[in-house]
Amino acid sequence: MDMQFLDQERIVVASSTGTVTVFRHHQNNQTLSADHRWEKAHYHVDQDTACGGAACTGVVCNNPEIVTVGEDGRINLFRADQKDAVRTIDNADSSTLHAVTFLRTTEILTVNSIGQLKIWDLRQQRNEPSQMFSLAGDRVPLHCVDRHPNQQHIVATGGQDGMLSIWDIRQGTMPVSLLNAHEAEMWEVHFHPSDPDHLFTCSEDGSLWHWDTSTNVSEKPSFLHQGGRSTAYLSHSTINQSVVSAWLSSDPTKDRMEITNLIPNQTLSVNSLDVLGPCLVYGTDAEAIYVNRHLFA
Amino acid sequence: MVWLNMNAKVVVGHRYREVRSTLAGEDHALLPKSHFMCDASGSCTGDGAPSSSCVFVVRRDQDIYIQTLRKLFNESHGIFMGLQRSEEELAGKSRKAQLVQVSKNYRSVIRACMEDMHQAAVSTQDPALQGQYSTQVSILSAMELIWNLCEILFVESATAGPLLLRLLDWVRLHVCDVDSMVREVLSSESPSKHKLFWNVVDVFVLQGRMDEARHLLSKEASANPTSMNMYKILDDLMKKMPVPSLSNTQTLTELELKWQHWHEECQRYLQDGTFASNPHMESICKILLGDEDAILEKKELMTTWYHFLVTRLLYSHPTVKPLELRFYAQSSMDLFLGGESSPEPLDMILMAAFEFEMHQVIKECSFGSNMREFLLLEYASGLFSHHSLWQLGVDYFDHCPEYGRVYLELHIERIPLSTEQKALKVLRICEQRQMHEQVRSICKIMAMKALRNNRLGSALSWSIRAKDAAFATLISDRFLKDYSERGCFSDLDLIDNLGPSMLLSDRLTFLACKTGTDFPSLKLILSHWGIAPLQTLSLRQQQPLASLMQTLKLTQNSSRVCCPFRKALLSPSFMHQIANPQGGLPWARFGWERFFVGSEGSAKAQQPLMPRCGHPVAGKYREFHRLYGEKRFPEAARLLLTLMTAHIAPCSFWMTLLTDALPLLEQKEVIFSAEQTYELMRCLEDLTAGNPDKRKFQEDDIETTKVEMLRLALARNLARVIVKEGTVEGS
Repeated sequence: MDMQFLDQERIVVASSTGTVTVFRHHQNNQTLSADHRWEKAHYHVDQDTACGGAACTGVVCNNPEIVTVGEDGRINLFRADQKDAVRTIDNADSSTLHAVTFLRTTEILTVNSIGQLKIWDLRQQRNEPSQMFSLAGDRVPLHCVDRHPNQQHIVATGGQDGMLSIWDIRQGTMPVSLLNAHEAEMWEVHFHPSDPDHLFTCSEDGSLWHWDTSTNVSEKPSFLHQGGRSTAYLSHSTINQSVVSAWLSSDPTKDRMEITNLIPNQTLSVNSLDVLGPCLVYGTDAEAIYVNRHLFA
Repeated sequence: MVWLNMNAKVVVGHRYREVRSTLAGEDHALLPKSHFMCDASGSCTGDGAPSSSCVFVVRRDQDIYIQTLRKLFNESHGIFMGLQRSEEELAGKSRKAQLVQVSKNYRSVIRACMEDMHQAAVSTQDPALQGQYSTQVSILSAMELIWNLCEILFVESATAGPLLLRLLDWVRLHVCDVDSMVREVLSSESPSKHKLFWNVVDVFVLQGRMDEARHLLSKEASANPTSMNMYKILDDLMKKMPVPSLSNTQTLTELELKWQHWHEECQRYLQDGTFASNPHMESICKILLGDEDAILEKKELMTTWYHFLVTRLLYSHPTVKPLELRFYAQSSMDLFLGGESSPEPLDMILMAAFEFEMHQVIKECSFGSNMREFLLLEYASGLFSHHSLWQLGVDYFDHCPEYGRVYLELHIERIPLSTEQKALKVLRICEQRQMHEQVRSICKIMAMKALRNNRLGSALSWSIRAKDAAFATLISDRFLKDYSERGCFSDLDLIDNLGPSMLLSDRLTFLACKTGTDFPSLKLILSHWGIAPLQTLSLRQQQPLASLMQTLKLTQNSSRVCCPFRKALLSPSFMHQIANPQGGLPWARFGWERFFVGSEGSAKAQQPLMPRCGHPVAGKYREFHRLYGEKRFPEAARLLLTLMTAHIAPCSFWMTLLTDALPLLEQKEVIFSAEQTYELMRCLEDLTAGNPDKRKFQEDDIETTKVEMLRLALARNLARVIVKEGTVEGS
């Protein structure tokens, strides 16, 4: 269901059976071997019944710590070198937890299937979130979450209706801006780690969007954008006034972003993506992984 | 039989045969030509023995499960979708070129897959796997061979001239048994000395690869200066051989003329014995002349009858027309096999293609009017049985105008929903195609599953997705049941944050919420009359009982009340805690601070509270609620009393009415007069005394508590009113 590198050699993989496995990648012969396995890290109430395991939907690593979330609404904190879970929050959420990410070293963010974004402080012993945010109106399930790499108060989430929400976790309990995006579930959202003016989202509708807030539209002649790529400008509705970041800005003249669909002809869902430097990797339901090495070319 | 999944059929041993035949029959009706593969896990001790309980996994389309082929399925799906898209745009001239390109794309995918499979076969240690891979390689290569031929004949429909060139390409590409020999000879130090030298030259000639043949011959010539002249003549003949061109620069007649001329020249050299001294060269000359016997002598080098056919055409009928192919094909096959062996299935397929039978097959196909649709349905059904490839099948069904939808509906319901993500994907497919029935059923399945696993939040979000009010209600009941069992809400996070989604449920939903202090409060959301503009009613910390009773009243009055909640509220221990705010339990500190009710007019607000069965009292009762909502308490009280004393309301409804009186009795100011209070007391006594089954009434704790609470409230009210009335009169 999800995977992430723990360090250079180890990969943590979350499975739909609820098992979390650490694989070691042997670079010399390009093979994988299971390093450690937490069987049924996620499970439903009757662990002994046949259908005991619950899908582990998300994993996030901050070596040596590994946090997993699942359909069972449970949050597990593992340490790569420890056999048992360091901490487990049973029934942390009454609905399915879809994704998790680190906010700070000791705090994590989770999103669930009733449109809530929660912050959990792992130092606290209380099994309750330290902060809770939710979508107004219909509680559209949230499927993915990512935090701005430099400005940690900015968080992006993607929902079942394809909507991109930007949250400022310092204030309010509702998203700062809602941007109509994909036509179906947004499966993954990622800020570019070194160039966070760029954001990438992918969706069940088979599209992968590149959101660019770095271009100040007024500076560039518009014909530059009239290429074969489908480009659209959106002005987004914001509430916040005070923040400089382009993601939170509300100045209507600057408040434009360039959005490009990077794979116009795809029909099957793009389930996952990751971005690093000039490389973009995405995986689709056509059982293929694509690598784009010249993202900003 | 319904539970049997079409993908993996599990059949219990001793009934296996019988069940299997039923299934096969069933499937034949739906999907002709289905093949069942049988994996026997464990040995079956005896057919028919009742004790045997082996389980068989019966699968159709075993091929789908081969890993390497998945690439083929996925890639070809991409090509298919691309074609469907472009089909709408393209027309006319460019269309053919486009189709040929698509066909080539398909072939290259098959080839790539074949190579992967070959690699796998080579690298594996397991002989069984190796065998499996090799079989796949030969199937794929046969597929590609047939496809290529069909591409030439049907897709490109090459005309006389270019047709032969295409066929030559086809043969060169597919007859690769001799390739290793060619490589061996060419890589040897001096090829002309190699014992297979002449074989290689023959191969080149037979395949019409003149330049390569000449190149080899020149080496031999330089090694034999004595027969230089002979080589030169042969080389010249080979060089001059007219070939059809792909461009339109020469007409067929021109070509035929040139060819005739060249043919005569070859004939002359053969007859005057120019090559008599070298049997190799003589036989080459005979081949150039299209001498069937000479060509047939090289049978081993051609390996297949269709190679023979193409060579024969090249040297005797280079301007063959598509429709003439069938005669040459048939005779070539007969000549080549020479009665020694009978044609194999592949031969028959190729023969059918040469005979242009495909058209016939497609036209006269008995599978209804649409061969394309039949094949697509069949293929997509196969894909659907795979745990991962099923998504590809959806798109194929979409492009089957006649039965696609029906097939999709049938198949999609059988997809095992192992994870929520998969369920979401299936759901999205159904939603996009307005398959409401399936949407509902998927959501229901998922919600039930979540409920079974005690995941109320998930269950709720699934029923919200399905807009399934009844189920949402069922889930809210579960919340309340948990509440009554454990004395606390289990899923505060969810209840706290329910949005308008809860409007789905036409029932009152009670939600506990943490107010941030130690005072949790009961948040009452009256469902379908708009909780959006929430309004906080006056705090009633001083009168928790009254507030509670109001809550109670609201639940009571609804014809579709959440029973568990009512029970919880009315349980004696709860009452006790309410009545004793200093009690140690957190419950005791409950302040019924806030009630969230609709800010819209109360009349509207009360609507869902009405008994909806068309009760005669309903109109009046509704009036009572309106008055109550408008805080016209004295009028409301009067009306309530009239409802009972004038026997407008049936006795069965009195308890509800009396309970309605409770909050009025608990108001700060006295509402019921002493006389009215006596009336109420009489009504209560009538009700309890008049109940024929008194014992049952007694046993019912809740009812008893309620009666006692009423009595207490009435007594207190009476005391207050006597004091009040006495005071007023006295002053």
